[in-house]
Amino acid sequence: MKVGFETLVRCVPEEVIPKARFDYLQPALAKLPLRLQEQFSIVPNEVRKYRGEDGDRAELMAIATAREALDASGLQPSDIDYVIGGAVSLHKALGLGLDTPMLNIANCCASFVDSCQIAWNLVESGECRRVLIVASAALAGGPNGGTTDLTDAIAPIFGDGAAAAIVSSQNLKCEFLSYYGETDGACYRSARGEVRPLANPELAEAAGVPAGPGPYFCMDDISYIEVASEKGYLRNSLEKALDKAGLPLSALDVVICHHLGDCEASWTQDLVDAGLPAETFQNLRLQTGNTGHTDLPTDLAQFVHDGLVRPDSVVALWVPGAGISLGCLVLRWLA
Amino acid sequence: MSIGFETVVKYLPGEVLDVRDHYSYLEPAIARLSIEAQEKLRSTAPYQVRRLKDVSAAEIMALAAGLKAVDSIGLNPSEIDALFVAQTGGKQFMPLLGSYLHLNLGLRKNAIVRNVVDDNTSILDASYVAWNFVKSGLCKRVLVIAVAAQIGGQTGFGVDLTDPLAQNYGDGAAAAIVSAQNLKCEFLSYHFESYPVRPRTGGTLIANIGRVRPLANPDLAVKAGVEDKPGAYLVLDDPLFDQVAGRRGLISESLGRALKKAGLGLQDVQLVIAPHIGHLEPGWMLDLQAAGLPQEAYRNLRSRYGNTAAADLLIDVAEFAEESSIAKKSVVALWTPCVGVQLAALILRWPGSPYE
Repeated sequence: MKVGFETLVRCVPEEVIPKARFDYLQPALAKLPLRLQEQFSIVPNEVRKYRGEDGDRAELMAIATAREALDASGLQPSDIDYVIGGAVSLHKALGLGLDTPMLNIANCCASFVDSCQIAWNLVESGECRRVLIVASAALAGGPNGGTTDLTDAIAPIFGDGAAAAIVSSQNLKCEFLSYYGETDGACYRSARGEVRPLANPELAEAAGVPAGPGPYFCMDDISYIEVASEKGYLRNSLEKALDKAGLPLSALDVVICHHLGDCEASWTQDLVDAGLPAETFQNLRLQTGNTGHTDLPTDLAQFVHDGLVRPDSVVALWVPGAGISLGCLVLRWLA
Repeated sequence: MSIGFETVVKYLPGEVLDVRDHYSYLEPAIARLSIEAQEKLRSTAPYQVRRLKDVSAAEIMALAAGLKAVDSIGLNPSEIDALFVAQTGGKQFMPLLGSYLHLNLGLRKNAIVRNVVDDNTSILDASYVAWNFVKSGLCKRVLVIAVAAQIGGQTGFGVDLTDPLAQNYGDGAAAAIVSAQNLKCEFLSYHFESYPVRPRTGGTLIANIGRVRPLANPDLAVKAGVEDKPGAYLVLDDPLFDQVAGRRGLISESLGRALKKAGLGLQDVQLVIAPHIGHLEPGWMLDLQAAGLPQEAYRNLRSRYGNTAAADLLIDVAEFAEESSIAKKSVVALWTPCVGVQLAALILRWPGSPYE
């Protein structure tokens, strides 16, 4: 049975925040060790921020994007058997049935791809006909947002984003070919989130945020980046993923990677070393920043729209989430 | 194919707190509550709870439970194909415990690892997905671990120890292995319901944490042995949860729907295990009795361990199994609501396989 995306939609938040908006962080950057200065200087040209109703931005984007997915597919809420991702409010806003289960998994930036694996299993086994996956991240910081401390020198890399997909075996836009995952707990404490004070409270006013502690992302230990950018890391895991699909690495047309600017040079080199053209590596990091687990589905949706991913393209969605939770989904675009 | 728990074990920290004695420092805060709230609090507090006083309490307890589960049936960690983790509390909200446990349990590099963040329903939701992984042939064995590190971690998450509610909560962990072999019990059905009345932080990056707030009673910080600092502490100031989860008929009606999926009725149930939420228990018990179940059909270990959140149900199942107090061929219902409000139920037959 073929299983894949029946629908895939992305949400492009309205507000554009150019990198110049973060110039106030220069004093914070200057205080860091040279290695971190270099790393945090690899920033996108701009990021996006949701500007809609008042409220939790991640929840609001999730609801808007999930509605769009239903509309785009012509499906009714009653056609959805299972939902992965999203707050309880999503259930109400969509008008799902009383007993439609919702599951939330927290595998950091690998969560969307890892959700696809669960959805694939539920559909293939006949347990569900359609699974709605919602990915939403309010990482542009500020009130009603997520985990970004806007006084931290790393803040400019993060933006808001959302995507939604319906996984089924009907009217497929693409077919899943394989999923491969790996876990490496040695970096458990590297890229992490904890309750802490602002990194640079003296910049709170310039950043437009209240002083005081919050649940913030921090990365004072770069072992996560070192592992994720090791030579051969991308190539080896891609080979395993493609092997499960019975394909060689050369079958890949597009590799969409998580938006980690400081790893991209290494990843591109990995693909070139494997004999793939450098342009196989594609993503929209410069336009959207790091949008967490929404990076991959939003890029894929845009690349399909732009014609970069064409019918019969073999695409790998590849992400080393913090932890490290590495997930890779290989699919063939059909539509 | 019968699928269920091949093993289920609990891990509780050694330190036992006598609740009345230990939390006597909360009396000034309790005295500031309404008479009704004071009575409710005093009548529903457990006798004792367990505590692991360590910043890595979540890691320690979850790992201990996981290792115990694997050892209990003589498995090599490489025989575990997937790991699902449900946690309440911990020292970081991302990444959650999955990758740490994967490393320290010695699982295969490519074993599937998922952190489930659906509050109290997480362990049942995880068991359902694990059930499907086994049924479909994707996995032979899935390890599910639930841990509550709420009072001993002092990491800025969990319970505010200056809040009178603190006395209801405890630390603990449990683990089970879902498979189709040598079953201790068989899964009969899974059921989920959603009654959305208030937002619950969801999604994948924020996990289950609330807004950061100061201590409820900073004047008690020293006596509570905690630093006076803000944290993402549990807040129960919204009556909507109680109104929905305590609604007359909710437990019997939703269990009825869960049992119907297994071709059973409420009268077929011998044991209902519900979460350790003391003030809602009298209503749930009345509800089940009104539906025809005997009083003794409702059992849990709240008075012994307090509210251990995500770990409540598995801890109870593990201990009832240890003491052989679940009658053979019993139908057991694990039922829990979580904030939001959503609820999940897993119906088991104990023991349910010809291997028994």
